[in-house]
Amino acid sequence: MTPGVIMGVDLGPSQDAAASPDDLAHAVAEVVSHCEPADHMANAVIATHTRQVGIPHFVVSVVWPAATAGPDPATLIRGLVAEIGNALPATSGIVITWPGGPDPATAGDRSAVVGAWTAVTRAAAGDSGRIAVFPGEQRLRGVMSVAEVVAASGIDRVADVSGSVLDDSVLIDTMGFVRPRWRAHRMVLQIQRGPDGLAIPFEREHMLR
Amino acid sequence: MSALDPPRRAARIGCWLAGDHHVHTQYSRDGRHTILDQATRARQFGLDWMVVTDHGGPEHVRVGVIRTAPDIAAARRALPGSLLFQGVEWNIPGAEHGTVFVAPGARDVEVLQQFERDYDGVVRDAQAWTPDNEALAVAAIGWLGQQVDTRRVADALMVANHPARQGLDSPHEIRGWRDTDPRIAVGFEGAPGHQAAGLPRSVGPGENRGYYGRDRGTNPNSFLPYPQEAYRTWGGFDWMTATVGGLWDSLLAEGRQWSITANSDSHEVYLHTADRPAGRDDESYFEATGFYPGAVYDGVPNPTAGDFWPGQYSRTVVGATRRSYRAVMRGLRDGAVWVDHGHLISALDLQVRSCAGDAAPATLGSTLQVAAGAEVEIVVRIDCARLPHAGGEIPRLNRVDLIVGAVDVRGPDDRDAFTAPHTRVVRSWDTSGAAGTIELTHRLGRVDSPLYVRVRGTDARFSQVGALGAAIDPHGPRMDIPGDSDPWLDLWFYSNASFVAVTR
Repeated sequence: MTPGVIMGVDLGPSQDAAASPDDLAHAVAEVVSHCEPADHMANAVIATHTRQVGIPHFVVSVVWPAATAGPDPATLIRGLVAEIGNALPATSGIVITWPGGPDPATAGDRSAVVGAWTAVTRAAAGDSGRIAVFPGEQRLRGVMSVAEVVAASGIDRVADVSGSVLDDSVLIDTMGFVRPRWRAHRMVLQIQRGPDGLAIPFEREHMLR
Repeated sequence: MSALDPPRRAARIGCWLAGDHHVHTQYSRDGRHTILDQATRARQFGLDWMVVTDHGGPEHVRVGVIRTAPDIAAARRALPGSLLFQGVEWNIPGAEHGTVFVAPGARDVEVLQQFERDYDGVVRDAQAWTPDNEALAVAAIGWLGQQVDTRRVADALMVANHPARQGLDSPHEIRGWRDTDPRIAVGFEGAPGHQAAGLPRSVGPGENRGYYGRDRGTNPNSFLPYPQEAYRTWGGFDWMTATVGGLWDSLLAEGRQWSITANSDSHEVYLHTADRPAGRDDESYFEATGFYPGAVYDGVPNPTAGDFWPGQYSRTVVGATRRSYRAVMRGLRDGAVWVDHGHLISALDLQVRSCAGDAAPATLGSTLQVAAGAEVEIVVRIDCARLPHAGGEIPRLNRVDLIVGAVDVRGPDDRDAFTAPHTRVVRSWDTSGAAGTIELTHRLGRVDSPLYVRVRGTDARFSQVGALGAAIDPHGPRMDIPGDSDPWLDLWFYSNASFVAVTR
């Protein structure tokens, strides 16, 4: 996918230490959806990236594909600035870039803006980031073939841990929890062998004790 | 001159003592059993020693660490001969958990409590992976060494637990703990506990074996260069140990001992019938009192629990000069240790000797000193299992692998290195049908530079090519399948390392 508008958000070190990457991605989705028409959000891909400067934490990227209608950056940043100190912590920093645009729009805490830049550059490179919000996520439920997963969602390919791409007919028990990663600008779901001859996503929802 | 630093002299091994250094009780937020409960089971399953390691935290530092001591004393009286240590499962600042324990003595509780108060990552709110918290972990190990030097305690050890579970223990942190005081920080779990967690959903928890972590990118404190497969167990063992030429080997390749262990991490046992007493079973009760009342047994087996009793499945077997607390600790430190699952073998003796017979042979964990060019051979003697394990079968040792690695005492330039490029499986023996005592010999040939050797064996029902390729490990353990990893069908033993030092 060729990225169009890319937004980075760092909520700062004050973010709740117990917040999962999903919590953060959904919190950002919620705020952005207040600033944007719903049809824009339908195309957005929201991922988390690790920032290990100071206290390690996640930063969030939101990518709109170049090929689809994206937000108007000026309107978006105005809306988000109004949320800093409200829906977003006062420690937040935001960066928005867009193709062919002038200087990127930035707002918020200076150190967090650097973190937001980390998210933007990682998303622009398209090679890292755990994706929590993406088109079709809610259609990935139950047992589906690789072909069905790709057809029903923004996922571009399904691969095993070694990176080998799976045959279209392989069956995956989605277990209702699918979190692909950015690899070479493609959304790749990594799977592993599961019980009963089915594949299952490598990341499962509740693993840690 | 090329020699190990320091050359190690073998302690005469008088007995092999099986144990478990990772056991939880009613003094853990997620525990339930009394110390006597766990110690009795450990004894039933043939363990000689056990360490009580409840989680460090505000309740434990206030209540648990104090109340543990008389409970251990009572359990020692009830189970004469069992060596029961007091320890803590330390939240290592900036990293994973680790077992910390001390030799019994007049001031052991005082030392453990002070340690937890000043250095536990939860008590100190120091879990984030920051330079300050890394330094706090290093200071903690230094402090433990001082307690030994000033004779407040006779001995103290730290072993890192489930090191690859979430990718939190970076290679440079592990090296840092070891180098701060190698008498104290002596190893990591080669295999984590919770070995029943991968049983199929139809009969068990249906989770990942060992309750290992989710994936990269789910904890911001993880060491990012660890690959995805690091977050899984392999044949029940942690990736750092299971990968031939991996992180464990990269430590041994420095010519320094680093012990691996295998433990139950027992909180809640597969098919247990033990409940916390009604009304006093939730975390608010624990937070108020610092413990749960001992378990009540309601007779209803719980198949969703993923642990075993101490000794039921996992064992850490230590070569000790005699049956004593301090001898167990010394054996662990020296690496006179082998570990197994499902009681796969009954005894293991590893000897590395000069064919000319001109030097004392090295036993498990020690160093053979030879002149450059000496012919060296390795003799592995194994007593096969004669009795069924707790899963009901007599375990069969079907293959034994000999692993040899080159030693470079300068260590890697990169303190975050996690591969040992000159380590590989050099010999595999098909031992199917073996019974009684078997002896396996391998001639290394002329030795011109220092090296280390270790062995592993398996029932060989599952294997796959090792992570670093077939030339390194053609038949390594299989990456465990979530919800399809019956622990009784995939058994391995691992020895620790012996070294060969070469003088020119």
